[in-house]
Amino acid sequence: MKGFEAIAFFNGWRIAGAGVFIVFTALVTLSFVISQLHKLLTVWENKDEYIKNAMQLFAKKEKVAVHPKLRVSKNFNESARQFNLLTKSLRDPFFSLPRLILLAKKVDISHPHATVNKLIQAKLIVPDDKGFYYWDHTAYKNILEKE
Amino acid sequence: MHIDFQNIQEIDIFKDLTPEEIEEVLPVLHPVRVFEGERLIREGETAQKFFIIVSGNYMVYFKDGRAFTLHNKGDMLGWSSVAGPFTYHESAVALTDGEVLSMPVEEFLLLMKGHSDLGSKITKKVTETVRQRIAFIKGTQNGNDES
Repeated sequence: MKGFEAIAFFNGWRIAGAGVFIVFTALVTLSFVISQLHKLLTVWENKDEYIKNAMQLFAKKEKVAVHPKLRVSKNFNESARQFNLLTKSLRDPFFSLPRLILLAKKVDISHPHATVNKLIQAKLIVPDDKGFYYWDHTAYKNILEKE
Repeated sequence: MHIDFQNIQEIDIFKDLTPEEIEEVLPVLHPVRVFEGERLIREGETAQKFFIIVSGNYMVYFKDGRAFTLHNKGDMLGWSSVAGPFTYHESAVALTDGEVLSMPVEEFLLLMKGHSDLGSKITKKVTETVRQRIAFIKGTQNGNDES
């Protein structure tokens, strides 16, 4: 047995077909990977932005999870009362703003950053010109009297 | 978030730019949405970008507990990225949700190289901020002047 007969007898045509199929599949896969490579490179080059966006998504989810156990009243005066107590607990009349926020977080006050911002805008928390802050008791008293 | 001519011209650092110069600046400004409590920069980290406030309220603070707040459109965060030693001197956190324009320092420096007039106009404004912040770091001026 020789030639085409031998090829057919030993499944040569099928093996050749399988070989062609494997090679072409590999080439198609490779060309697809290469054609998409620029996307991967874009992600790599802007990895900081992607990481940040991913972290923002994460942060948003956390916020949703925290929301149901809101403790601070939406009422500004109530927030003022709570932060007045917090500033008192810091003992020093001139306190550090980041420390106050940290303390508010520790006692589970929600939205401490935004609340501190509101209190600054309302001039209840006032800068001392040296980078520290104090609680304006006169302004606070005025707010309580208006209640 | 949409950034256009009008938005850019309202920002102090870009006020002196011609319409052609603003066209050059637009591609290096990346609008970023920030959320309450999100940290934008951390003291001691390599300064790779600086931020220009579009909206929202921010607290800049130092390891020693001092802090000041920024509330105005056009205020800058992360100036250490354009003035050596290219390490953030301060940390900054968003007190409320807001929007900033992120400017990667590499893109900024490339822009400066190609457009010297534009560079000197922006640098003049940045230098003014740096001067105020250095004064604050040294404890000779109230950073809240900017608020």
